[in-house]
Amino acid sequence: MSKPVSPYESNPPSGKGILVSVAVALAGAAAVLVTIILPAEYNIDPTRIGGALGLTALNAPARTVQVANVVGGNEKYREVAIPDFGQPVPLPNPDVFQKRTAAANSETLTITLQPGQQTELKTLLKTSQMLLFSWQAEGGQVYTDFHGHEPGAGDDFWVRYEEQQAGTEGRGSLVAPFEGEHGWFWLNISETPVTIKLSVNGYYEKMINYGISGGTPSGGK
Amino acid sequence: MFTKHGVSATVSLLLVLFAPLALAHGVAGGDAAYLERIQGVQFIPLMYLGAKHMVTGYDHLLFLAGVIFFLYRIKDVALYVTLFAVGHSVTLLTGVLAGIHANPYIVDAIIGLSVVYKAFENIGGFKRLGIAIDTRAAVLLFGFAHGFGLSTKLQDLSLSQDGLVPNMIAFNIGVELGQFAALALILIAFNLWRRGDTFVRGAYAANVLIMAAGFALFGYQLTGYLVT
Repeated sequence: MSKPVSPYESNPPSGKGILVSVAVALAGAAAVLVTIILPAEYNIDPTRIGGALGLTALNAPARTVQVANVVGGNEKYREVAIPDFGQPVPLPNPDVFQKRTAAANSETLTITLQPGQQTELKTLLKTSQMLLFSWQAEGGQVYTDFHGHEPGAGDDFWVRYEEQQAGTEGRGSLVAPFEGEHGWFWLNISETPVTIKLSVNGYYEKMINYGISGGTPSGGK
Repeated sequence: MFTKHGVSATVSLLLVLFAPLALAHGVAGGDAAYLERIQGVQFIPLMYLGAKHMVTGYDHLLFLAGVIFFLYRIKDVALYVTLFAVGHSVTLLTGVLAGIHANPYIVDAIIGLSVVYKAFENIGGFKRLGIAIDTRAAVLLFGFAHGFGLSTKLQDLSLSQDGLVPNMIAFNIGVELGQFAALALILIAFNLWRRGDTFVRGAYAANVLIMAAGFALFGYQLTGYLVT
């Protein structure tokens, strides 16, 4: 028989004292276990305290999605793990992404202007929708005013994207600052016919062709 | 990556008193990769890993702290620590050689219970219940349990058969050296504590705390067994 080493073995506390001690130890252990260790180690969080402390993230299960099981097998769906890249910072401007279901519009127009003639081609764009464009003038130079205005706002409210006093081509992109008509005014400033070929791609609603007018070299907007 | 044996802040708070390096229990990731890579005898590295495993194995250290809590004479410390070392060496060596694969959660849950046992004994619990337990036998028996834990962990690392026995012995020697180093630190801390009169007042509460940590370890490992 080994001799007792603890003073409490030579002189043990009362049964009640021991019972209270064990109860305290058990209660303390259970509290730490349930609120901290189990949430952190096994993602078991009955009290929701571990989640509130952020501990459940330590061993959170992988994110999964249900994917239709088309190749063989009897189950209708199978669980597939997807990556978890954590939380991104918020977008400074959420409007930069515009979700659409339909494909973008796309068209190419060719217009020939006699000397002094003018025309206006507009795209109808909703706010934040995007346009990619490119145009080339053959046969001479044109005056160009790439601009936008709200429909029915008259001539006193408009914005200019680019003015070319004499040019033969333009390329670029546009994100509509407001809903309205956004497009090009062209005037043939040459003494020869000029053919303008315009290509546009984007989520515009429709093209508006204002037609050709004028004929004397005194055109203007 | 988070280790399976990550320590909660509260438990580590309880343990810093007793374990200078209360870290992870399993052999850490980089070390495991090393063990899978090596071929042949790697005596010193294996010894180092054994020592590291012991020094950072808070459950072994908690049990040891409980065992030596009221041992004042170095002769007694040596006796109990030797019993513990013999116990875990026997099962470490035979476990690896015989390929005994104990469930690590069950082994670690028993280790948790060993901590509870010793703390309960320290506060005079068995005495009050009128149960006579030979502490030396108990320490030896729980030494067996701790050794199975070491053996299972060593086997989980898929040690190559080439040089297995010397590597295993090196690991075992390392475990003893690590235990010796940890024990020295625990003893120094205890001796400093015993000088003041806070030891008399704090000893009982400290053993209740050790018991709580043992219960928490037991619950943690038992849950692990149930959910995995």
